[in-house]
Amino acid sequence: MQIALSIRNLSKEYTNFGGSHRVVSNLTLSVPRGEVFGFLGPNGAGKTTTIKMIVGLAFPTRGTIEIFGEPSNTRSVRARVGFMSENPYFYSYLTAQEFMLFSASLLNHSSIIAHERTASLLKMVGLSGATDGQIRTFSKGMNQRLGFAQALLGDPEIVFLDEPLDGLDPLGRVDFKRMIQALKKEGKTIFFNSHILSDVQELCDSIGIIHKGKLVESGPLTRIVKGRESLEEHFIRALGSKK
Amino acid sequence: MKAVIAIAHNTFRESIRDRLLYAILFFGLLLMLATIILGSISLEQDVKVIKDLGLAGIFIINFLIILSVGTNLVSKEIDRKSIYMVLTKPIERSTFIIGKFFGLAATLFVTTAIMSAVFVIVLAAKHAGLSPLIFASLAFTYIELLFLVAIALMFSSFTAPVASALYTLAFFLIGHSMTTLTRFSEQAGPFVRGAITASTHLLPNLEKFNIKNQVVYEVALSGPQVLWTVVYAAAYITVLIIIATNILKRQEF
Repeated sequence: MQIALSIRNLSKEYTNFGGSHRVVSNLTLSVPRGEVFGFLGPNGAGKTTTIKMIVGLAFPTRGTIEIFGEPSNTRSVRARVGFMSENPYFYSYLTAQEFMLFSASLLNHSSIIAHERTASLLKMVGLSGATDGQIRTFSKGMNQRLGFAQALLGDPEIVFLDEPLDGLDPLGRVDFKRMIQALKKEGKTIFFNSHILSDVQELCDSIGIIHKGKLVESGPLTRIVKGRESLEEHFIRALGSKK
Repeated sequence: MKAVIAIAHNTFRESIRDRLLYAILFFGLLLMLATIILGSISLEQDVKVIKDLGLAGIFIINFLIILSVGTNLVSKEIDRKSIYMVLTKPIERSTFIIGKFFGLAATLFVTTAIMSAVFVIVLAAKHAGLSPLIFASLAFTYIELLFLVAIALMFSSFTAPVASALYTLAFFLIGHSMTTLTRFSEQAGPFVRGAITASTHLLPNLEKFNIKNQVVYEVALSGPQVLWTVVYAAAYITVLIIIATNILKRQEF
């Protein structure tokens, strides 16, 4: 079993005049290739900070992050990674197609490949009818879809999604879940943060629960949630025992 | 290189679709046409007034674009988180800064070209001779604008837009006060003189780009003056971009 993501002893501290504040503390976890991994935790638990450190937007105070055995902060690794931020915001005066082509040029795609991938991904996320609309006219759901499409532009082997289901209507959530399952079938590894535990239970092979920066537990979903207990019930129980 | 061009193109495209740019440019074109009226009320000095106000107008309008667009170049992307999408791609952070610089440089090239075209038409309509000095002054104006873009970009990489605009404005004012400062230092004590001399070496001397008087009084430029001004600007802009890149490399989001 090949490990797609390996995090070891990861800590993040922010220092200001009031002293230092530890957001992530000694986090260690690994995600096997081809799995869907749900990273759960209450608000302020350190989920987004962890994802930001993985994709290079924040720097760890201590610890290491490896993707497919290489340090995550190298360009060669970033070429194999897709990322969608929470509430993605793009260049408002660009059209969806222009934005995708711009993103493709950052991935050094040729014009032909960029156009092909743009057309197929916008179709996949349900934006093929809005390719020429300026992004500033898009709804939140459309922005989420566009964010998802750009994350997949480089045909990444591992995709990080920060709250991808947040703010979507029920139909949008169904679409997103279908797309995540399709990616899993293609053998992609998916790591996502979410508050919507029923969706996590439906999609994920394994999960990690983080609370106040510390990993409470992680492993295969079938091992963590047993019997008739739902993930939500388990989550409340797991965090309740840590209070 | 492809990523630099992509970011520059994107910056250019975003800025030319911004209505604020058109409002500023429209005001600039009105100013160019107003030079005819202002020239006509002067006492047989109309060509001189048109040259003086026209060149100053081209600079001021483009400087306003830098203060409104340039000082937002990086900070807006950080505020709106659009920078996340760019920096998580396999590019260096320096690529982002360089692309931003060239993107706004391209926008200013277009706005300077449009205003310069109107300025030249106004001069031609007044049957004023179009000496090479006018074009040299326009080129120097553009180089100074590039200089100010680099300053705005540097401040934009770590401060809010308003603070960035104020700092850029401060650098502009100081940069055009170097001659005055140097004269003042000659009458000051040794400590103040030393401090001013040191600061004049460190801070940008934007008066090097001001050849408006040479244009108005038709005093020719020397080859070395042109060469050293270009080298000075290129070196300073490079240093400012390196500083901006290093600031961004340390930034966390």
